[in-house]
Amino acid sequence: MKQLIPHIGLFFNRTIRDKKNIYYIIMMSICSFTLLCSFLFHHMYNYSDEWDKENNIFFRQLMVTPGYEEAMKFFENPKYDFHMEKLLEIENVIDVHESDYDESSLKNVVLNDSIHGDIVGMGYGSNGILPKIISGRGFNVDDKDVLVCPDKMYLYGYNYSDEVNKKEIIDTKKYIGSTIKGSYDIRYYDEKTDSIKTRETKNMEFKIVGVYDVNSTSNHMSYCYAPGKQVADIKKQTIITDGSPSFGSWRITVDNAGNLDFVKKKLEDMGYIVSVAIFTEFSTEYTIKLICNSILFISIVALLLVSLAYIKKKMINNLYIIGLTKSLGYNPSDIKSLYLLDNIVILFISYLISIILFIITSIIINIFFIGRIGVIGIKWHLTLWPFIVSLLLMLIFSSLINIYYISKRIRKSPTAILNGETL
Amino acid sequence: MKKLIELKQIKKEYKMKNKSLLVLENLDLSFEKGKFYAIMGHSGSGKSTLINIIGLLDSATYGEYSLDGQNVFALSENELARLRRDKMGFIFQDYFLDEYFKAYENVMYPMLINENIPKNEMRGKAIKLLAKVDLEDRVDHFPKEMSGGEKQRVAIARALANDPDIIIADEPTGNLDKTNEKKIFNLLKKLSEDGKCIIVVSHSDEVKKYADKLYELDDKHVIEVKR
Repeated sequence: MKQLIPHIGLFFNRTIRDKKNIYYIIMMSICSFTLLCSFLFHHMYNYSDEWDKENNIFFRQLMVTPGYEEAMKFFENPKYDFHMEKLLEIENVIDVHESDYDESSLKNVVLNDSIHGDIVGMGYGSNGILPKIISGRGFNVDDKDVLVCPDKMYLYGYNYSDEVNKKEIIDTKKYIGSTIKGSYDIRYYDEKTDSIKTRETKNMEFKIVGVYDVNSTSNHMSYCYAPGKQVADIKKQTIITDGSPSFGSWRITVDNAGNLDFVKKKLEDMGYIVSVAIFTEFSTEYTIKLICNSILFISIVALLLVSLAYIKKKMINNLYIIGLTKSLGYNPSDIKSLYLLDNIVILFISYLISIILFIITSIIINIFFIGRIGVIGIKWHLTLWPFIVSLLLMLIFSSLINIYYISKRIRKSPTAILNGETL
Repeated sequence: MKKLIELKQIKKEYKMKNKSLLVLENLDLSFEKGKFYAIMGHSGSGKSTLINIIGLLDSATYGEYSLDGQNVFALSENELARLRRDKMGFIFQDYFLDEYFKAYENVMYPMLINENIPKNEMRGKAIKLLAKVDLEDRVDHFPKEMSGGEKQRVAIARALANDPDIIIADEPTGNLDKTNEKKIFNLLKKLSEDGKCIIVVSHSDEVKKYADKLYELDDKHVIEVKR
């Protein structure tokens, strides 16, 4: 092999000149492309899963409802206090709040009298829940009229950065200290007309005191955080009830997704009914994984079949060259090296084409479909291993097939090969 | 003159299922440098089998083969390959040129595994060899762009690539017309005059005009034809 490597250019030219190789190169490029895409999809799927567990606060939240005995106490005395704040004493629990008051919103927003928008979400904010502040400051749960907003803010709906016109995104850092004005409706149920009506529209003003990195969360770009108690106050005014005593659930935030099971068990031991805050849609996940694995499996089988069929045919067509090469004094390992070099040249070209195809596909996806990918919960994230593994698989499969077929033939004498006795 | 190749009691038998076919029996032959040998015989007489054994492309069932004093039947496959590379040059009836290599690349092909020829000298050497067979204007041509005679001359240039002592030609003019046949035999004759040992198998009577020694294969045995 060492002796032949300086002449790789010669074999490269030979491979290019053999037009029959073009079909093999096309087939291998397609196999390599699908293989690469399947591996990358696998990676992105798992990466998104891990990312969510790490960054999506819902993955470290539990929904807790008081048990039967506590519930009965409430129904006997509707003023009964569950004292859920005591759950903060459980190790790893960083926030407890009623899930009904998890989020509110302001409409018809005006930022700094110059930028008008449609809506701003206001999440329940507390020290435990606030994401990392990258500029400005945070607040306490009982502060008033302050907001922590995404660093890139969009005021025209609940959208993610990959779904909006970039020109409409606000660089919020410039607006720290500015005021957001907006309003919310206090509504009620009108029995006479059997409809929901607005009793009053309240105007509010909030000062932006800090910003967080929206890309490090799973929040949309109009999701700000306001002090939790104020969000709860607003929400109490906007929730429509029939007046009968009721209670909902409480949202427990744990410091780390890994501690979720521990806290869940503790709560269950205390008599609470506990469920996770976010349910994975297993049937969708299963379907996506099944499709992805099927494509991966088909790609590998296709890679094997294409290599088998092509290399076998090539060996038959090139029998006289193998016989001639042996006659000229090439020993069996030289001949194996020759065919491996030829194979490497073909794989190199195929791989290069598949990378070009991949780049084109990536550009198309990033321009036209990135939002849809986000919707099915997959984050665009590239890494090196799918590129290496798909190349290695191609190399290993076709090299083994090559060695198998060539070894079968070069055992015989040059005359036997030239006479076609090894077919 | 010292014998370059010496064959003693060579026997070749092909085993086929339940029966065997004896092709050569008790052959004694020797070859020297600087001579043109022709081996003739009717179809199926075993000419090609004999030349393949001489060219180390096939093995004998029994006998002794000495090349430059070395017992070749005792050598390993890699040692035989090395001997073919250093000592032999082959010319085949069907040329066996690589259709995707240019003429000079076909000539370079045997040199690629010869560590005694520096990489940067290979192309120049190939071109010189092509000039020797009057193909200096065909250096960059592919086999499909050449006539049968030209292809066979490329094959001769290739046979000379590693400067071997022995050139073995199996029906080298089998696919050529009379004019080209003469050209090829003239070339081979010239090579023998330059000191090479030329061994040609042919059924053409034309070869008799060029051969220093003529052998005829008949009924598994070889006889020297005195002229």
